[in-house]
Amino acid sequence: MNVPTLLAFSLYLIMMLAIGVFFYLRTKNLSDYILGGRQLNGAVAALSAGASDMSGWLLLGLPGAIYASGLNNAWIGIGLIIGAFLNWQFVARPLRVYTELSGDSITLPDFLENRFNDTSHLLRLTSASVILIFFTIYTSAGLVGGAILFEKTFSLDYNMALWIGTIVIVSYTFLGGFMAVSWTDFFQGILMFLALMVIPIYAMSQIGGWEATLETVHSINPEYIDIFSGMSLFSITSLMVWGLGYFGQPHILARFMSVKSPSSIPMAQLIGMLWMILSLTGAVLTGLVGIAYFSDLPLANPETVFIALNQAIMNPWVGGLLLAAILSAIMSTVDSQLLVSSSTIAEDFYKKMLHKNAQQKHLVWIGRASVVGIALIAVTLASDRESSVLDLVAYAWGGFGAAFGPVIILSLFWKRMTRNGALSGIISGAITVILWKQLQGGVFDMYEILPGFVISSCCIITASLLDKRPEKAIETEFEKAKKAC
Amino acid sequence: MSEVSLSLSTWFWLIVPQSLIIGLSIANYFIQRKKPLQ
Repeated sequence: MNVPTLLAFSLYLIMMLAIGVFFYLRTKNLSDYILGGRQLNGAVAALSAGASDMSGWLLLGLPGAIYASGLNNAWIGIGLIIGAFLNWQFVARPLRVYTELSGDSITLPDFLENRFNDTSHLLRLTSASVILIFFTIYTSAGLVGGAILFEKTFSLDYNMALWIGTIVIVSYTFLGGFMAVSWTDFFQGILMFLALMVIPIYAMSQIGGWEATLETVHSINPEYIDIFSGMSLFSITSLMVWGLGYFGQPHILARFMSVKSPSSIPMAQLIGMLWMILSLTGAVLTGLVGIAYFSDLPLANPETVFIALNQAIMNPWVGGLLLAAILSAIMSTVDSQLLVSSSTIAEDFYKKMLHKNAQQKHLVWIGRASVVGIALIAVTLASDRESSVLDLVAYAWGGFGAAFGPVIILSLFWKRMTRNGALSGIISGAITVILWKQLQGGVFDMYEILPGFVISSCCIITASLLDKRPEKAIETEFEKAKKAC
Repeated sequence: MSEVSLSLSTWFWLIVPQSLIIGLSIANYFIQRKKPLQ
């Protein structure tokens, strides 16, 4: 491991910890710890939503897919951009307003229970359990990704890398809670953005510019520069529906709920969309430039194209910092999921089920203890990098999107929706995703989020219409929220 | 001089949806700014 890279990495990690300590001193109650007391700056909300959403996929997965088979992999990015835009445009503001109005809800299960006045706690228990199980596994998969990266880049032992990464993430999440997670995500988002701008542009200039790059890629395989190459309407749809996932991701929706004022959302949306579009463009370009740059000696593992370009063209100081961008991408997702899981334990299970009159200070420490507890479970799962439980991650994006997406959208826009409708939507969405994934061939090759989303929506509407009309108080609150939007 | 370039349909899908979304987000910002604060 070279010294400049190590120093650049260490500097980055120390900065993350400093942010944790800074917000530790400002955390007074559970709302501060798990939602930043709804005081999040719009720009920070925008970048942290983007960074925590993308994970290592932005710097490893997408450039790798483009490097391996060309521009036809860009469809998934286009679908994600459209989904994220619709989420900001139609969900962010109503969710921010409604969650505050409806019993000052600080988690999604909290909101669903308050929105439908569910005194049985069934809705809270079901949604909190889905979040807890999937995010613990999701967190674990993120830790595996980070540890493998460390292992390969610095030739560190896998378990040593796993523990170093976990200790840093847990430390600042444990100390500073939501604000620390959001601000570290903000800086991580900037770093990812810079890395995805600098590397492809600099590499392209070394090759001889855009036309020379395109010419080399074309000479290797003309299909690499055709977005429709090998694609049918079915396969394009299957990639683009990834964008539906946004409506149901608890860690992204938490950013909307935490924004300081609903009026700051349009600016946050603009910043968030610019960040996302430019970053995804940078990731696509990285893959494309990689094809040209390594035309003489192709890479064995396409997903290392960003790392390989970085090592080939950057000096070690800048390269070390840009390499930290990959770690940023992974950390910003893991910390957000860790915090949402811990808030589910502190707010949805402990405060609402076990200790209703618990003091705020006590609850904050329950939240912190939960961060450590979940991290320990995640590390245990991650210590076996081949663990079959990690395969469940494949269900997470689609599962959350189908289970919560239609429920969130309809609960914000449909007054007639009932508690039983919500419950049937969550259950049917999750089950459809799990079953669909087991089947293959023909229509079953469609990404499972689409059938899950449609079936969940149908179940919500049918069950709600068969149910009796919601209570007057629920309808009045709905009207109040609608007016406030 | 090389004649290699991206096809029109590839350019369209790489540029138009993204530009439209940025344009809509800018328009949304100015429209919402005129609304009274809640």
